[in-house]
Amino acid sequence: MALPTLDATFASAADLPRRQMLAQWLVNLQYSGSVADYWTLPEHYLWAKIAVAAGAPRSEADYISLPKNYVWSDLYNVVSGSSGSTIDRGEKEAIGWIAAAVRGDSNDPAKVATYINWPWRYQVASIITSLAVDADAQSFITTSGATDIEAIDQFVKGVKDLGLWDNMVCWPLRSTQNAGTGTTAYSLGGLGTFNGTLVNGPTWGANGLAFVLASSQRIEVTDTGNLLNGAGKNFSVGAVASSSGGRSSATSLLGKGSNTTLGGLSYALRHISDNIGQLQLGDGATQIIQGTLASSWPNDTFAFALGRYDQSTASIRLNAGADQSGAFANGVRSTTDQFSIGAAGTVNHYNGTIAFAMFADTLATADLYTLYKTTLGLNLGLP
Amino acid sequence: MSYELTDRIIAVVPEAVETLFPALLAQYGEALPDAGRQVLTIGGHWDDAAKTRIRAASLTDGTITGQPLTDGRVAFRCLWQADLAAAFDSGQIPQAEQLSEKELAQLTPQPEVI
Repeated sequence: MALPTLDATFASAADLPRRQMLAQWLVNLQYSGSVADYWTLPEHYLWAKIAVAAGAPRSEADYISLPKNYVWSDLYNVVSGSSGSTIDRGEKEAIGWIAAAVRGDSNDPAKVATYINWPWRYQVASIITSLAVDADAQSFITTSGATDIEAIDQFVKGVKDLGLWDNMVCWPLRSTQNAGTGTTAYSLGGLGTFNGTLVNGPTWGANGLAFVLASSQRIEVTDTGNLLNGAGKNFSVGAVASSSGGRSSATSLLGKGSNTTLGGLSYALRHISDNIGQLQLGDGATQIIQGTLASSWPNDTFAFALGRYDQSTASIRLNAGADQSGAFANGVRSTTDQFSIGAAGTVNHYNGTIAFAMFADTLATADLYTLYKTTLGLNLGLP
Repeated sequence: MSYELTDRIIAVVPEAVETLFPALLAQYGEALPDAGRQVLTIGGHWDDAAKTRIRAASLTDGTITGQPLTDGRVAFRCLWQADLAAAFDSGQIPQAEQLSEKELAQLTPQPEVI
């Protein structure tokens, strides 16, 4: 990570009184509370709370009773993934190392030296700004009313680390990760704003939106800019879902185009039986339907299906499994037809719960599955 | 708020969306919430899995659309305004026919497999 920019945001953190800076560090770590809740505590209490909030191994009471060097040593270990003791470090050296670790710069000696040489205020301000909720995540949280701030923030930061942010738009659909009420499913991602409308009453739930096949429930997303069709470019589509049964030979998790005739199809991501998920692509005249999953995907089980197309090969994978691939050099149909979640166009509806859907105009990798599983997808039972 | 708590399926000819529904909205319309605003409507959907909240289903907003049937009609499934539901039951609205799940299934076009 680049050294922090000494801008107004950084300066506002560095200008706080010392205990308020520690309180801000704590609040950012917890994703809850306010500086006013903590800054009047004695400093060693604040260090103890920071250590526990960061995941350090001892209890808050233990840290309160120990010299601060033990907090710093454990903090460094938990942030950097190291083991061993660094209690011999003085405060300036210890906080410099912690700042480097928080910002992912522990392996860059020049940056570590810079962090160590910085005044304490700069060291802690660099930690505070690094732990602050990402501005794009905050914008989504504010707009949608989502309450799972930590998961959304960690996911957005991870997507940016993967270099996917500007190429991707997604719809987190667990109730705490989106509006959780009403008929708008807000979109998240740097590709653009593609908020969807819930049609025919899919129901918000803790694990996602529940779609009922018999009610033709879906989310409709208007694509006014030809951005979601993948024509002429590599692209990926993905969904995390759990079927409640009622699958047929064309049951679709998402899709682009009318899909009532082959001429109207751009793509669809399907889950039609325990062993068959499909990426369906069409160029307006011909199509490919690819493939058979490498592992089983039974009812009532969440899994992440990822379909990818690089203009020559169509592939689909489940979770971290291997790609099942086939050749298709035709490209896909360019269309501004609606993008649907829980259906392909207005047909082939899904029956089950969808926790997440995404489109990217580039090839996503297995890293996206791992990131989703450890952030937005916690407690869905993903393997 | 007087809406039925179980959904029912009502089939009408497509023209009824333009000719019948506005009159029903004028006579039976009752506001339901959606995204922090109130929407005048005659139908709603459960908003949460625990069925503690009802939200508006609106033709105007596109949050409900008819399901095409093989006989040319369209079916709407939602929680209907209670007085309107009573009118359905008493036969006051002959242009609308209530369908059972079995009847809906028999009239539903088979999914496209392409």
